[in-house]
Amino acid sequence: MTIKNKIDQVLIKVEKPARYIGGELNSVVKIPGREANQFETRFVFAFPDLYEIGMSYLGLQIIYNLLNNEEGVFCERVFAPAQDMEALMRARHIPLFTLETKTAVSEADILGFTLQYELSFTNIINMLDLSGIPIKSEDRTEYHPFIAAGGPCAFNPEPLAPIIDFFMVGDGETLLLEVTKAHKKWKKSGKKRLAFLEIISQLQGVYVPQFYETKYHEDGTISEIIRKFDKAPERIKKRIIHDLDSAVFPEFNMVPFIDVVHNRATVEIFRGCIRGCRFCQAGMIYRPVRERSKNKIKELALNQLKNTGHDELSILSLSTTDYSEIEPLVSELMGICHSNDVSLSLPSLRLDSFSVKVLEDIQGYKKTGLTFAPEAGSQRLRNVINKSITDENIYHAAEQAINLGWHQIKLYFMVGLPTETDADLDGIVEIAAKITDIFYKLKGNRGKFNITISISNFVPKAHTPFQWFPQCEISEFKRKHYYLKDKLKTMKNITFNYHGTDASYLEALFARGDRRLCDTLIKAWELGCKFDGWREHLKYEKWLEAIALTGIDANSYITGERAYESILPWDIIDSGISKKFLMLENERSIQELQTPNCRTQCQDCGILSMHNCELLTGEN
Amino acid sequence: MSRYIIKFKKEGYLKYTSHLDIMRFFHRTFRRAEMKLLYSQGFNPHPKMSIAQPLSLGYTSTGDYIEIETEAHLDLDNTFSALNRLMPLGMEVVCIKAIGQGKKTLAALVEYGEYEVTMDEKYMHVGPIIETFMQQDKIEVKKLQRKTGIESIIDIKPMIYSLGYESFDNNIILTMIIRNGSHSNLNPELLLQALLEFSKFEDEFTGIEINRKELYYNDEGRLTKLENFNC
Repeated sequence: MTIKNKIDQVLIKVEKPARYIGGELNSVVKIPGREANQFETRFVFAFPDLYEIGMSYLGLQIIYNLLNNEEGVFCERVFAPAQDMEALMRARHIPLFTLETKTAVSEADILGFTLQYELSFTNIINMLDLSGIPIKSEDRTEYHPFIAAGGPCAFNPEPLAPIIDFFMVGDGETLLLEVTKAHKKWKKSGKKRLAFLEIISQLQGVYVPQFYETKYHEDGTISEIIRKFDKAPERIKKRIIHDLDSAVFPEFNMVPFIDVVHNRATVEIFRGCIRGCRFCQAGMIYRPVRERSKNKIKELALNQLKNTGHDELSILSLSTTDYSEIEPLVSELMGICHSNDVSLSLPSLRLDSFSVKVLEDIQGYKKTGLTFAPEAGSQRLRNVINKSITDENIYHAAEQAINLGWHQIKLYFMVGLPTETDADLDGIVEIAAKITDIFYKLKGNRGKFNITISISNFVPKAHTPFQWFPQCEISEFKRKHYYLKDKLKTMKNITFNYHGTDASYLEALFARGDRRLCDTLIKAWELGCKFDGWREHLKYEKWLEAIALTGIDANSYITGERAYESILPWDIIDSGISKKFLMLENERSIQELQTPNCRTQCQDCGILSMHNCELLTGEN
Repeated sequence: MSRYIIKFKKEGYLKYTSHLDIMRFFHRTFRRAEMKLLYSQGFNPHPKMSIAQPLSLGYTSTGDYIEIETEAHLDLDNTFSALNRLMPLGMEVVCIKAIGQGKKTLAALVEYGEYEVTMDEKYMHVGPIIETFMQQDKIEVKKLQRKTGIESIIDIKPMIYSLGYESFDNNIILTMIIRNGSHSNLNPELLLQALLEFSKFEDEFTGIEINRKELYYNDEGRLTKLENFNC
């Protein structure tokens, strides 16, 4: 029986079968061959989570569009099957298949995973297993696909190093095309698998982990990294695209049939961030800021709306309000949206009066809720993390919002930040109390009012100024959560949410892990761990068992402090940000000093060595 | 202000999309075709479009209907070809027709649905017993009330208009016209289950495909295809 027939027998039995059918608007099908519109290289883009999550990810649309516009290349998709589907696939020997042509994933030339979050790593192993592809690189033969990976977690690739044949680090737009071109040429040459890896290891941004070997000191820290292929680069420089206006960007987005997290037109307005919050990995690894021009954004938005029929438009960046022409951009987009019966959605706004006014214009009488992220409860701690929001900003924005009729305010904070004390937690409680006071002062006892306080746990990340800091102990996280819960529970109108500590602990393990963790990862998967990012699926006990069975001292990775001198597992990756800058920022955090943003004053972070950054020439 | 009915097919893998998915799909498609739909009044305006009768997930359809109201008159030939240009594999517009501003919606109008059930060789014995099956005074089946969880016994015979079959070398196709609408509705699988039980078939049901072929309304006592509706 063919895969198609087998699939047809199981789809009727599973939840949301349309997750697996493909055929969405603007999806692409090609046939093999060397004629025009046929393909020689089959690239399968793999998202290691459910369809609904993966299809909401803009990077997928960018890569799909990019590769399918390329002569001779066919990009198909695959997502992690939900557990009901997986059980049926295993029982009936259905291999993992692509959505576009229902081809076994093992028939791909390159299978590329996107690494969006550490807790999706077990799903990668599970998907390889469902495809019948050996999990470790060393066990694959000439007949297996190359397993590739990219995305933010490729900036600390080490825990996956024994699994992945090659990583692509940094912006993928140009690098992916160079890799597929090299693949077409290599395929014709008839050379061995290793030859392909040697060829692409010469491309900026490609990291082939099998060309390197890590040596350790007795205390477990890294003593040296040895190159096993003399032409492999000493460090892998991230890839960077210099101009967003000329970069490929989708105008024919795929439109899922089923409801996914975000089903809307989306235009990225800039890459990078001027702010430099010290905990934030995205703010460092996506440097420098590169803006897309206002006209290009409008053109892309209009074309996407026309080609998809979406009734919602969103703009994407790390900090919307920092776009240099944000006011005219928003007003012009609102014009476009108004005349096309489309609603506009603006994520990542800062706490300022412009944002509140814009949201009022957009939401009108349909006010959903207002979300802001002060991240820390006291000015002192906000100085430590370099989050340039003041108490005054918060209260002013709240007052304005309440006056305009909002009665739901959501605030995001992080706990477990370096130097944090209970006084900083008290600051969170105080902010909640003061905003409630503002509401009663302005509105009296009229109407409902709710403040949601959402707490996440600080996880130190590679390539940030906080990469040397320990994460706080699980017991301390729990104490902090209960401390806040206790103080907030006596207050009216407060909803309090916090993240699970187990997930944060595992995230910290892999965010700064090294190669030795790969066996732990595989062991955890063997014990049944997958979908670890889903609270209902996380099997923490099994994880602890895997850690014990593989002899890993997890605490040394998580709650242990690291020295400036030591070689870090991710030092192999050159993000463009100098260690000198990260150390200086780390020192300034201890001194509770804020560092001005990139537009106010260049901090010489190191990215100038890769890109001619022109942020200061504009306004100053 | 104009009102139209559109007859469409939904086949292939699209049988795995739900009623709501198809509503959203049409909404986006009408936007892409630049057809301005009328919106309902009030706090939560909705486009004026509705599907005559929801189709169960897993069924194909070669005769489904959606009705819409638009701001302006549509050029029917242009709209027909524009819509078909925008349809993905598996969806097809069969015809589009203007109807009057009557009060009744298609959903209120539809009374019967015609289903084709294609079954593999395991079920060849079912055909010849249909006549005796239909000669019973009552056809009683157990039905689970979804809300209460209570199982009750109901007589479905009054809900069957006709039941026939054709057999081929290795499959058999049942054709059933049964109640399908907001007043009274019979799930075709319930009838199938009763028939298979009557034929003493006890295995798990596999190799069965269901296609809804047509929807009918009652035009002064005559079953009439919904596409002929005009008022």
